[in-house]
Amino acid sequence: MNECPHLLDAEMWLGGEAGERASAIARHVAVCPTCKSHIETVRRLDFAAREAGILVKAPKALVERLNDLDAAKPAPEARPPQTNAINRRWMVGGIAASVAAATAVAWRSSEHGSGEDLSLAVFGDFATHLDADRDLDLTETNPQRVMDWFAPKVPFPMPQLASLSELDLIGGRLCWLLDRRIAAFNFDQGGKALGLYVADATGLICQHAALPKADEPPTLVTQDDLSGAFWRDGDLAHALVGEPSPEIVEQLASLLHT
Amino acid sequence: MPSHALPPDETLEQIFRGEIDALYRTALRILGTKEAAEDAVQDAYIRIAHPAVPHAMPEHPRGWMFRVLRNLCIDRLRSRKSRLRVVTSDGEIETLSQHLSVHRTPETELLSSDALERVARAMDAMPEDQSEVLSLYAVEGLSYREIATIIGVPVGTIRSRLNRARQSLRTLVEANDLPQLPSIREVRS
Repeated sequence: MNECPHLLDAEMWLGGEAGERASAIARHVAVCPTCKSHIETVRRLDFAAREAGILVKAPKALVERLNDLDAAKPAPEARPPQTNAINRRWMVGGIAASVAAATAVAWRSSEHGSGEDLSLAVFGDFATHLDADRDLDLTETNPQRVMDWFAPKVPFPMPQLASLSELDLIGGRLCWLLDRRIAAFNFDQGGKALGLYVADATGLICQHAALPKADEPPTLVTQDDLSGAFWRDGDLAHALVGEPSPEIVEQLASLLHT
Repeated sequence: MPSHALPPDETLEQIFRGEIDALYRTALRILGTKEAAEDAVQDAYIRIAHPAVPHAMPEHPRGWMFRVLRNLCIDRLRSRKSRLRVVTSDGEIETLSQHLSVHRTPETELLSSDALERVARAMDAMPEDQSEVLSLYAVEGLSYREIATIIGVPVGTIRSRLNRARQSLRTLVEANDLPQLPSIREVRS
C-alpha cells in the first residue's frame, strides 16, 4: 500500500482537496498503477464507511427534547455578523429584483474584483471528478428528487432548474469548495459530461472580475479540455462546466440562466 | 414585512436541527452510549440555540457546532475519568454496529447487511483518532479543513489520520465486503 510516495496526495486529489496541485497529481495518477489501484480502494472504503455510518439516526426522543427546549424558551435572534443575505425563493427567471437591496453588501467584494475565483475551483473539481471517475453522491434523473436531496445539505435555497431537452440530469454531488457548501448537478449532453455548480455567491469572482449579473451574458472560460460559463443570479453563483464546446456551454448557460 | 421581502436567514437552531443526525452520530461515537450522546447533543443545542448571551452567526456554523459538541463530549469523558467506548453501569457497550438493524435504504443494498455490520464493527474497533476523522470525512461529508478546525490539528494531520484509518478499515474488513462502485462513465452510459 506504500509503494508510491504520492498515495496521500492521490487521496487528497480524490477528495477534491488537492487545490492548485490537482492537475499535477492527476497527471501522476494517470500513469501510476499503484495510485490508480489505491484510490479505487479508497473509494470503496469510503463508500462502505459512509453507508455503515449513516444508518444511525438521532432518536425521536432527542428531537422531542429539543422541541421542549424551544417551547420553554424562544430562540434568540442570530444573524451573520456580515451581511450574507440569501435569496430563499430564487427561481430561474424569477424574483431576482426583490433581493437587490438585501444583497447589496454581499455584492460589494465581487463588484470590486476581489475575492475567491470560482472558475479555478470548479474547473479543478470537475476535472478531478472526471479523471478520478468519482462516483456521484446521488444517482437520480428526477430534478425534484435531486433538489430535495440537496435542500437540507446546503445553506441556501435550491434554485428551480430550467428543464432543458438538451440536458439529461444524471445526479448530483455535494461539494466543499472555497470554504462553502456547493450543490453540483451532473448532466449528460450527448455523451459529454457537464456539471452545474450552485453556491452562495458571497465573495466569489471569476477571472479577476465580478460575476455577471442575471441580465448580463455569462463569463466564458476554457481550461484544458473543459469549457465553463459563470454567472450570478440573486445571491447564488452558477458555474456550468463540462466537456462540450465553449459554444455549446454558452448556449446551455444562456438557457439555464434566463 | 412586505410580501416580497426575504425570509429571515437560517437560524443556528435550524442549522443545528438540520445536522441533528450527524451531531448525534458524532456524540455516540465519542461517548459510546445512547443516553450520554442524547444528553451531550441537548447540551450543545442549549449552548448554540439558546445561549444565555445571544451570539452572532459564526462564519462556518456547521463546523462550529461539531466543535462545540465535540468539546462537550470530551469534557464529559474527562469528568467521568473514562475511556472512549464507555461501558455503562450495567455493563452494556453501545457502538455504531449495534444500530444497524434499522434504516436500511436502497442505496445501502450495494452492501449486504453482514458487510455493513462488519464495516461498522471495524470502525468501532479502530483507534478513536482514526475513526473520528473517517466518520467526519466519509460519513458526515466534512472537508479536511473543517475537520482540522473541529479537532484542532493541522490539515496535514487529518490527511495522515485519514490514510491510517483507511488502512485500518482495509485490514479489518474483508475485500468482499467492499462494494463494486459504478463509475460516472458507467452511470452516463
